Amino acid sequence: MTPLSIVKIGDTVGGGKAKNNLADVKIVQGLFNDAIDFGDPAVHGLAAIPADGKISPTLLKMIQQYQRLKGLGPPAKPDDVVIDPGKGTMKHLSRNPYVDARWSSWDDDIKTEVASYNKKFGSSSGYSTLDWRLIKAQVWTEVKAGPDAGDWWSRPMQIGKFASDKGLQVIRGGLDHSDLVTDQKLRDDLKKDSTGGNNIRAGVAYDVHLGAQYSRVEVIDQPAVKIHVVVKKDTLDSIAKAESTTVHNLESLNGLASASVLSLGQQLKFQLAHWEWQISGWDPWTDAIEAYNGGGDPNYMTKIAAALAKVKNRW
Amino acid sequence: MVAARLLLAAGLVAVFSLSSCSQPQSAPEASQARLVEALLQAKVIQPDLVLVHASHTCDLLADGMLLRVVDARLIGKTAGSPRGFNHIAVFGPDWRLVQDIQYVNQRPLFCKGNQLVLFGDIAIRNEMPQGNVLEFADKGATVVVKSLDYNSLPTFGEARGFPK
Repeated sequence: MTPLSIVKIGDTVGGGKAKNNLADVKIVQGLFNDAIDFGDPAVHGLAAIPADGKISPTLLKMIQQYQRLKGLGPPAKPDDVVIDPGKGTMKHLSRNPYVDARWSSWDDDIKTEVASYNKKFGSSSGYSTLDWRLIKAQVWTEVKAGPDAGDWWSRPMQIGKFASDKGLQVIRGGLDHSDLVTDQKLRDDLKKDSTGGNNIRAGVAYDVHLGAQYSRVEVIDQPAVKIHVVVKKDTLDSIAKAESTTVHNLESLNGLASASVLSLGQQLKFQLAHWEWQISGWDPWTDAIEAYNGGGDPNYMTKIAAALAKVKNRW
Repeated sequence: MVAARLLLAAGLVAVFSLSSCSQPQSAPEASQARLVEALLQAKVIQPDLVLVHASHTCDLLADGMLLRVVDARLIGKTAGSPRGFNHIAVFGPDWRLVQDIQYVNQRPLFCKGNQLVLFGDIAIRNEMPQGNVLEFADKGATVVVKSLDYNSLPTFGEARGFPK
């Protein structure tokens, strides 16, 4: 697990006897602005301050409120408030997802996967470009505690967490037409390991699969019309199998209804044809993401939207 | 909103149970224990999930066979939002599973002959078309998705023959 990288200051910042070096104060001001920007409840109600390196009553109030709400010490008078290098306050400020690079540890994996699907299906009818930030928001939602949780590193998309989790089974096995979305390499890789970066790959693949609409389509292999002469025991089913065509093709070219009676010697037109599953359209990504949750959390999409707003604020 | 949806669902069930004369003979009410036992045997209930709901919605009649529709909802504990595993489990008269259809929000509402009406459109395995009615054939082995316009349903008063 990658350890938290704590933002460093050289000396104390705050009121009273704090050293308040210009560079240190600027760093602290920036971190508090990040906390406000992210919506950390510990700075709720406070407005961003200029990162000018000057100690102001507003900054001292900010430090005081933050330390009190984070349980970093008894309430103090603004003049007594001090941030020590490497101590609790710096550690807490460094955990902000805008500051802590670990919250972005899967960005490259997500971007790579999303870009591959956007390239593959960009010209597919109804496909709208998948925004990698939506998946980043999904990871933030799936592992709420972030990089301090073991699941962040092992199963960041939480797919395959349960023996009964259909999602991983579907993607790994190419089931339910998902083979039209994924490639063999992904399926092979997931059979060996579905954790870490492969968990991101599996999760994104499942999102894309859930967004795809599949339809059974009749494909004409050769447009040339051929003739079949009906013999004893022929049925539309048996003729279709024998002539590598479809019952539908026989019915449509010969104006037959499905219950039509065939007569011996009857000449039936047909084309070489078969049925296959194809991607015929796409659902909105929000529907696919909601389906990913399986209806387990009625507030899932609200959480995704909140996380996405925070992600879009910086990325 | 939720309350309104529940009222709609309750109303629709009431309307159909009163208005449809082709309802199958209802099976004896299944006990909760029997229901859970059947879901366990069918492996709809998995040991690593939390069972949060199981109910016998209604009975279908498909090719002369009475089929029991069971709504089962399970939750998987995750590091964030709980994952849902919602099932429309259809059992034969001997409580053998004949269909297991997973859904997200499209819960089963009521049965009408061989049709099960859902709350919202479903696409089984993402196959088109999608619709809010599951029509069962071949004694439950085959399912076709169809659509029903809720506006075509009789109101409670119409079903009861109340004067306008």
